[in-house]
Amino acid sequence: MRYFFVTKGPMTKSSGDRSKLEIVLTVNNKVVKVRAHAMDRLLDVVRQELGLTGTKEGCGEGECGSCSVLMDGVLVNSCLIPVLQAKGTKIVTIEGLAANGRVCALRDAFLDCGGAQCGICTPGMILAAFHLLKKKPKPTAEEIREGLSGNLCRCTGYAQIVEAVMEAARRGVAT
Amino acid sequence: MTTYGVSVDDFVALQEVGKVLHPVLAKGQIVGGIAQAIGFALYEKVLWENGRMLNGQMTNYIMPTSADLPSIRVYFEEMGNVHGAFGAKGIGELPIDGPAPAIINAVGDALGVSFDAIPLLPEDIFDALEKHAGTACATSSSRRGQ
Amino acid sequence: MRAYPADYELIRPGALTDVLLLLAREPGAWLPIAGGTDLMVQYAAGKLLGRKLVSIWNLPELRRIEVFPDEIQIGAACTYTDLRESEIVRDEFALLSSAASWTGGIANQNQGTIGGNIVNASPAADSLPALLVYEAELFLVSARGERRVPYTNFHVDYRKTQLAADELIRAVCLARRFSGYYAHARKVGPRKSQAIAKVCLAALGKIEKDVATDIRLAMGSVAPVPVRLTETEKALRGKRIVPELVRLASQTAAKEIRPIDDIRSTARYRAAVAGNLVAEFLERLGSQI
Repeated sequence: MRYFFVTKGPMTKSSGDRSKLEIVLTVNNKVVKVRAHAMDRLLDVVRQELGLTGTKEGCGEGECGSCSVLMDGVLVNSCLIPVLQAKGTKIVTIEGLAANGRVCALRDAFLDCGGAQCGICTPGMILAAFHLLKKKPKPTAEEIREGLSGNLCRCTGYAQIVEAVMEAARRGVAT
Repeated sequence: MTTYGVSVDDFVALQEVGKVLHPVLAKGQIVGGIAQAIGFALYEKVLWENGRMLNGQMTNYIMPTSADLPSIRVYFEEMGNVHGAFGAKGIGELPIDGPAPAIINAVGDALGVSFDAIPLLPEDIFDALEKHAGTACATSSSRRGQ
Repeated sequence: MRAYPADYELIRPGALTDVLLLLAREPGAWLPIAGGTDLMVQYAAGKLLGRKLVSIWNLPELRRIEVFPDEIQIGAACTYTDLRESEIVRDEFALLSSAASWTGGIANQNQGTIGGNIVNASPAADSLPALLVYEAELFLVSARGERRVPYTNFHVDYRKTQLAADELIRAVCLARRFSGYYAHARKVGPRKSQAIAKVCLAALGKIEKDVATDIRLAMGSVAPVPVRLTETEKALRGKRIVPELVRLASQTAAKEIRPIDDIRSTARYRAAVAGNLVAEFLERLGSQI
């Protein structure tokens, strides 16, 4: 019995490759050249072309925040971005954010406070928390809840996530 | 009474779990289950049409966001259990059972109207109050809603 | 994901003039896309009509706020975050600031645009009631030239506007004459964030002693388009804000709107809450004296 694993690219009905473009963008500080359709979602390009699976698809409609990335320093939902609109931008995914001990205060606080259970929302939560703490280094609990309200979590009920972000703020986020 | 909406401002859970093996994880399980139950009680209506779910997307199936939930306070009692490791009991399923009845009873207590179905949406509260027009709104309570 | 990316075309001319020339050459063939917070949801659901899109995301001509002595012009591609962070919008057009703060979560606010909100033309859109009470005007551009239209009649029907097939909104123009008004906005949704409104109110009031010299009320989600409550305003203008008037206004508002039952709520609930929101505004306005 032989098994075939298809791992690259979203399914295409038509010939596909002919309408692909070469798109250059910076991902996690590396300049990358991807071959993709203009309307391929940034989420799919990041996960499938670039193999960065830390960014998740939870809803595909910009509601749950698990696909969050930073685009030129701004928090966005990558499921809503055609990759052509990311051309020439600087994208940071959770892998890039967590590299070299960055956000270790957030990571350690999440571990200490129980901010992650199944982990699906966690990359998005860390990105949203990082984005918030950059703007508000000492947020109130209410500001944290507002800042993270675009990230849905089913496991934790948010309490320990909010505690983790408060704790990270107290310890000081490494940037 | 402006919107007939209910929000949970504070929630206290006391759970007897035999033995707490890992306090952070145990608390996480309880809070998570309570959050799901608050959704169960006040937000998560499933709409059906001809056997199909109408609102099966995250946009229209309403689960609570971080802005909707309070800080949930969890306390444990440990009375042991001869069957469990170090006296622990399983807790994963437990926390979702109690909160919805507690919330519905609280709303009923506040309004003087009895409710027996979940989720209890603002529209349901509005309809019930219309039926009991005049008498229900006289009850005042700090947990009345907004 | 229910769309095949290979079946779609997206181009990014990069300059407004080039986009307008394209729209003039093939009117109706190219769908402008900015932040994508509406269109990409339709796309992923397999419900996007049309296969060709042209990007107007981040065009500098469309993403700036210009301040003049008597008005400001908010570029159509300004995001909700741009609105929230703008001092002049916060200070002089607070209703727009609030609306921006409750349109989705932070990520959606970073991507969604005011122009997109207008053109998507949902009756539940958060910013539109504010545009009605501020009597906004829209600066429309095409290869044929420019025109300025009052927003009041722009939204003609459910998800339909007066925008011509070759036109784009360049800017939203707001007259700077509302600083002296008491501003109040409230959105009632199924939850506190990431919610589509069941009813929302944008209100401005001017009160002298206890007489309402000017009242402006607009609501979303209570008709196929966002509406000015002209009847209710008429009943209030020039009158003393007393409990009987508040009750009358509340009832007039509930009768003036045309809410429906839908997936989110019921007509009866919406009518009752609409009346309550008007009453709440008037009570707060009254306590300003």
